[in-house]
Amino acid sequence: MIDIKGLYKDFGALHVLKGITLHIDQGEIISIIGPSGSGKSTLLRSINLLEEPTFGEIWVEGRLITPPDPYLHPEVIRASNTYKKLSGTADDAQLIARIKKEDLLYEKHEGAEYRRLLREITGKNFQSAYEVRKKIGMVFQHFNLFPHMTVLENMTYAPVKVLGISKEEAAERARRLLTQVGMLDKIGVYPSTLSGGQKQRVAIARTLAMEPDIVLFDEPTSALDPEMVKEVLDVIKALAKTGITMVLVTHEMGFAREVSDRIVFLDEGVIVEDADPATFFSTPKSDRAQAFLEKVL
Amino acid sequence: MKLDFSIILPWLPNFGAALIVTVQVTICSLLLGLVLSVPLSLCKISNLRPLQVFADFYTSVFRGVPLLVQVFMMYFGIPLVLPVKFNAFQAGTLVFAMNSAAYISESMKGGIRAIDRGQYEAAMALGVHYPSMMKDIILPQAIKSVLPSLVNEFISLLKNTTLISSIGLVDILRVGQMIQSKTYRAFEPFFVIAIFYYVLVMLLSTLGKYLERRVNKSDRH
Repeated sequence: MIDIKGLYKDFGALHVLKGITLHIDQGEIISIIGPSGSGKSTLLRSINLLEEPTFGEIWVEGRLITPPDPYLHPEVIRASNTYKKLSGTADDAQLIARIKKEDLLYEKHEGAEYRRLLREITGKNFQSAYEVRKKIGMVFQHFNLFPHMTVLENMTYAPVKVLGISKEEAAERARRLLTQVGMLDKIGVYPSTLSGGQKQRVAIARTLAMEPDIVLFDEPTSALDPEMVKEVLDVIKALAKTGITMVLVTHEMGFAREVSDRIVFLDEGVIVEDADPATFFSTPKSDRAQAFLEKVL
Repeated sequence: MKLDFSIILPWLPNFGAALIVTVQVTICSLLLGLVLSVPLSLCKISNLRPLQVFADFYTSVFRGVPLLVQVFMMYFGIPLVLPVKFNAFQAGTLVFAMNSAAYISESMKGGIRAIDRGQYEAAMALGVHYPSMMKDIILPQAIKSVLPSLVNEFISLLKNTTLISSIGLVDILRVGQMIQSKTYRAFEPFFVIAIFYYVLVMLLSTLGKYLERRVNKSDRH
């Protein structure tokens, strides 16, 4: 369903993600946890291209959503002028490793064959950010409801505008989802009148109104007062049972343990552990995960 | 000197016609200025350097040159070098509109910048394209926050329209000058004119407050 290959993300001189490779299956629920600054949110936000990767590829439902990364395709490297120039200095595998390691490819100088191969990869597989975002929903830490629209308008705007369904159908869908998250009685109000927990429940319903295949949660309870955390977690738990694919960044360890199929532990931009929750929380393999769990549990 | 306001009475029909001219010029330049200010403010927040430079230069020109000079330029100057011809109404309206666009776009830029990054991200995450995002999500919120300065801009626009009397259009001020030259009286006509403008400005600011209350209804608790 989602395939992340060799993902790097730099913000200027700051290297936030350093070679992330992660596969997420349909229906899986994955929690990404780790110390702050480890790159969790950046990784999550890369999946719907709110962050553009510096290197690497992301595939969603078998189609490429980033530009192809030549370093991930040996046949493309072999077609480059740089490879041809250096060939003879080492064997094929060593040379490819060296070109990757030293970042020697320079798009403009690599010749027509190299560019043709890259275009071929793109042409066969590419889907635009807009296309992929229709299928991937996102729930934000700060809800990001549209303050100038009522709850109903928040929920019908994108389905009508982006998916092209009728206003009536969108309103029907909104009522059904608001019932599901227990917010139907607030359908006509503006977001400013809602509590944090209520806002987040509406935001989750708004995301579901697009009928996404995948939902990303970016610290959905971090901005909430403690007494409101449970109502939001309950909604997410109920959603987890429906079989939708979910990727969560969260600091709620008990919750991550309860709902997740897999825990991905990120530290300093690399995946340190990738295990089922029982294994991860009882017997973490790495020192860094152990140290982290000692602090948060 | 004894004041005699009855000398105004025969001129009332002229004042009526002139009032219509003033209001027409104000409203036309205001609407046109608003329309022009949107692409201009979008240029200012754009990532494309040439668009930014163009919009900033545009604003600096209209800010840096006296309005009366702009009016003369448009009415007397431009038709001599370009194959265009304006009457006084068109020249005046165009200058006022372009001038307000410069000022409005500047506050609009501030209004757009003040909008939380999360609003863009939510719109993008829902798959909304840039033009719809700006039109439906960002600009409505930006306009709300610039409404107070927009009302100020409309008020100074209304007062600035007196400059079109200098290119021969009969607005309220021009009627005053006509009365003065016919009757050799200055206090009465200009006093009446002052009241005209004062009332118009009060009406505008009341309208502004009403609009502000209406768009703020989404903030009410």
